[in-house]
Amino acid sequence: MVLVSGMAVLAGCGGGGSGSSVPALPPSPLSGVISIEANSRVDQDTMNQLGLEGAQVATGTQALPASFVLAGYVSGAAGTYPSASAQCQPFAYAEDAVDEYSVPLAAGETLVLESFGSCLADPELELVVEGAGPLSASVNAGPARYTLTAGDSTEYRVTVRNTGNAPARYILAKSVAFGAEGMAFDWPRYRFIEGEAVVALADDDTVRAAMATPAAEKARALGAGEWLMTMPGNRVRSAQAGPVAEDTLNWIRELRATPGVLSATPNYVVSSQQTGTPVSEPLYTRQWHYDLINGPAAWQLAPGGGAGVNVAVLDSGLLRLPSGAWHPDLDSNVQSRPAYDFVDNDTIPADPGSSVGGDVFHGTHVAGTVAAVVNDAGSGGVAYGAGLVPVRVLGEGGTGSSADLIAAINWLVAGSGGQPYADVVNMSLGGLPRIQDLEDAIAKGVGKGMVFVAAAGNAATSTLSYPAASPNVLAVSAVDGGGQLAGYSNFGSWIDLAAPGGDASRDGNLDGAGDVVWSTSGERDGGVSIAGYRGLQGTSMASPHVAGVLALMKARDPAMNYDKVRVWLQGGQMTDGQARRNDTLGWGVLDAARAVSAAGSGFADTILSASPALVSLSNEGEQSVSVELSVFGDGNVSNLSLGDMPAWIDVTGCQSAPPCALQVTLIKDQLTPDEPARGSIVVNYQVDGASADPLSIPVIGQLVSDEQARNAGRHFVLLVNTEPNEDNLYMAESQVTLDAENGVYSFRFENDDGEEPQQLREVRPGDYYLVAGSDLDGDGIICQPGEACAEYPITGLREVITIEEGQSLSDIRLTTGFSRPTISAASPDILPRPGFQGYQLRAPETQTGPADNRIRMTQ
Amino acid sequence: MNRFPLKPATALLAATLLAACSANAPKEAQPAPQVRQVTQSAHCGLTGPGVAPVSSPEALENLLGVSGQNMATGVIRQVDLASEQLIIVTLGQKPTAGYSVGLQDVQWQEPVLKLAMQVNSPAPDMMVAQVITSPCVVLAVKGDHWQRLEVSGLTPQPIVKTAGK
Repeated sequence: MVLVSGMAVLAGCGGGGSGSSVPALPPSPLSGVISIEANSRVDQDTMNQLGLEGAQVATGTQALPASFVLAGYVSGAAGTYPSASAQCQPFAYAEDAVDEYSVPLAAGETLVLESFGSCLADPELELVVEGAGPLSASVNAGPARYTLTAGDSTEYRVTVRNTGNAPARYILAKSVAFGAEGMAFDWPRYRFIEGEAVVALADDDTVRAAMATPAAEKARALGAGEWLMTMPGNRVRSAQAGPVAEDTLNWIRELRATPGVLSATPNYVVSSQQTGTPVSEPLYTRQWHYDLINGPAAWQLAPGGGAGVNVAVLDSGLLRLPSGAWHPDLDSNVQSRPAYDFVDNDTIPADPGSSVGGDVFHGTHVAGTVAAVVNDAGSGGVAYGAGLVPVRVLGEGGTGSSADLIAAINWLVAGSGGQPYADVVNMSLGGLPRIQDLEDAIAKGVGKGMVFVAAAGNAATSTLSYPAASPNVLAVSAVDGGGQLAGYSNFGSWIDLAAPGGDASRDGNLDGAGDVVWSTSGERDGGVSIAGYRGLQGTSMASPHVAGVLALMKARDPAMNYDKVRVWLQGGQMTDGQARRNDTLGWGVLDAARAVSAAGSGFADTILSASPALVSLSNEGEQSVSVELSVFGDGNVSNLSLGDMPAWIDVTGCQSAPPCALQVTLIKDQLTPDEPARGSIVVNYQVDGASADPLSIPVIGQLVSDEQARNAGRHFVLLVNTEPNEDNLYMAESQVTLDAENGVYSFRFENDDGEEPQQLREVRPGDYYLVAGSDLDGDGIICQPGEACAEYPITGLREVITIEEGQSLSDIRLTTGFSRPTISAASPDILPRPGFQGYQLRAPETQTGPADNRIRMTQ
Repeated sequence: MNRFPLKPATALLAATLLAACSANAPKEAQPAPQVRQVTQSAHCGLTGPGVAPVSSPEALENLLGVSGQNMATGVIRQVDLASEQLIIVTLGQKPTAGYSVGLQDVQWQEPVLKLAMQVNSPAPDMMVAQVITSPCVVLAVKGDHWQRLEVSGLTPQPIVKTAGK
């Protein structure tokens, strides 16, 4: 190859793949198909188009679907990439300062623009959504994000503008996968009882005052300072008889503005067991740890989620927003409960983050596992209805003093009016030696009916770690997604039971992701706390699972105390351990359903339980799923029948008594393409001849319909040398160029005919990497950030492919897309590629260069 | 040899001072690279102790894409990789909170850049949060003419990196 001068043009050659209709083609040494990741789209005027002679910048608006990942090219000026840079090849680039799109947007949806610049520079790009100001994106400044907070659900004109002169590649994307991984999934709106509200009041005087006024007619105590109130009949303003939804909501808004009212919420209708539990929260699909402890069945048995029980979290405090509210997924369970900060000696146990070592928000994470609110956002806690008593004993860097811990426990035990401030105390901390004052404080609490639980510690030893090793504290070791002891977890004769603590280095439940525990967290941005969610691992994460279950148990049995818990534990009624103990898992792995049932006032509930608790179907994922139905309890379950279910699924099976399996199959033609649908399968059944509350299994269905429309831009399929050159570029030896046809690229190389020069698509025997990708900025290199890339057999895990004389490799399959594999616990095989620049295209041998001295990169 | 004790949070090496103090510096000695601490984190997601020089946006994105990290990515991305090189020094996986690593001292012995790290660990019997952490510090180095990088304090022997590798 000879580069004649500093400019080159990517001249199109059309498809050129194996789609030829010429009969009796000679055998190809290498052929196959490259499929394209769902929702991939490409800008209509990248350098692939603009490089064509006489090409003009597109002036029209490009329409995009509801979900897409689009790669594009913008440049404020035309020019030539500098030849001096190893990362650049001296090819021409065209001016195309603005790309315009038409994007369907609904309130709450987010559009992301990420710029990757080019080998020349990192110009500033602007994302302008119709009706909003410009947002800046560059490699240095990071991506621009636009969320439609309010407004009509319609098509919006979206402009990507390059404010500089240098070219830039970019990704513009809108997907339900953004945000908190599926939070855009919109569950049905909860129904509520018209004319009723659940109201939390500040104190007894306020209750009396509120009841004496016409603000509310009747009140029934629900415990923990909450009251069920009824709207006065004269508040109904609508023409219809009786209260209607809007009147109820107006009344609740007024209640909230009433002095002394801490909170007022509609009295939501619990239409089935699974609605309004952590199963219906957006992050549930990541929370393998709840299934591991049999959480969904426990929530059927304890539908209040531990309401009326207070759990103290002795930790680093909670994330507090500038507004003064706690983390929004914790706030309503914290409000009106006692709180104290023993580090700063005040009544506001806010976690300020760490000045050194980054912000962990450990206490926020732990508290979320105990009792995050079920509110259609984020995640729910094990005891999602319980009250949280935040007590800060860990300060800078997650460390603290035993003196503060002892003072905190004494404060909790003393409580108010002879009642301790908390029923259950979680201590996700450790490392202390035995301290008599600490033992005494805990013993006093146990004497008052409190139950203490603590993290066993992460030192992977059997050395005693207090407070967990205290005889009056439940010591919790940690297991991974497969129920095996986590590699870091402490063990020994002092372990009482095990719970999920996660292990990022393992995928014990084979769900394709590292086994970390997901819960509430946050970050600090410019000194301001921002709520968020995070996956962490440690016995710190195991302990609050137990604390949450203890709260569910306490709600069932108000007389529960440490002695009763030990009896249940050693009788195998709280775990899967069947009353056998070992030094790693103690009495076994926590089973929330068994534990709640044990605390069920002496009678055994019988319920039907589903596994998995949530079904997700897609034409590109699992189209049919088997759901195991099993009986929990000693009653006789009979007369199973299917109730309501969405029209887009078919459910068969379970003709006999459980345990049995339902087969849930997606009916694709009943779904609207590209609109995720949600619904529930309702299973009616009887227990000992009497109707039981039906089992409801949430189902998500999605029909990805864009197979034909997918386009990741013109693709260059290369056989490259297995060693890079001095510029860290892998050079192509053979090359075919393809456009997407019906959503795929079909490629075919030819045998070398021995004649010089070797044609681009001709292959000589040897060892190569087989790669493919787009070159949207026309710099002669594919697979740069912002460009599509495919490697054989798996992107990120390329393997040498050997071409042998006279042999044919056919039906080779690759997948191309704009995303890249990342190094994570879920993909430990992926290695970093420091210095990787991409794959360099091969220009044709040109006997006579074009008159304008340009290289034509054609076939 | 030049030696300056540095406050971890404000570590900045003045090239001119270093050059002036260098008693035996050759006539054409290059100024000492300037080293500053960009950010620290308790969760960098990297499991082994080590040193990772980062010169390209791609390498940086690889590191920022590591599962479980919570580094302040904004301040890291603000570093102009054309004028400064990032060096990530990680302690690896630790069993609890309470660990951190920071820049303590910088020495320039042309062409060797020596970084001494301050590693903080919880005292024995200290009460700590029982969460697995992976602390690290992100440094920015102005001047890429070092040929050899020696990072001490993490492991019994200094971790050595050679330029370009």
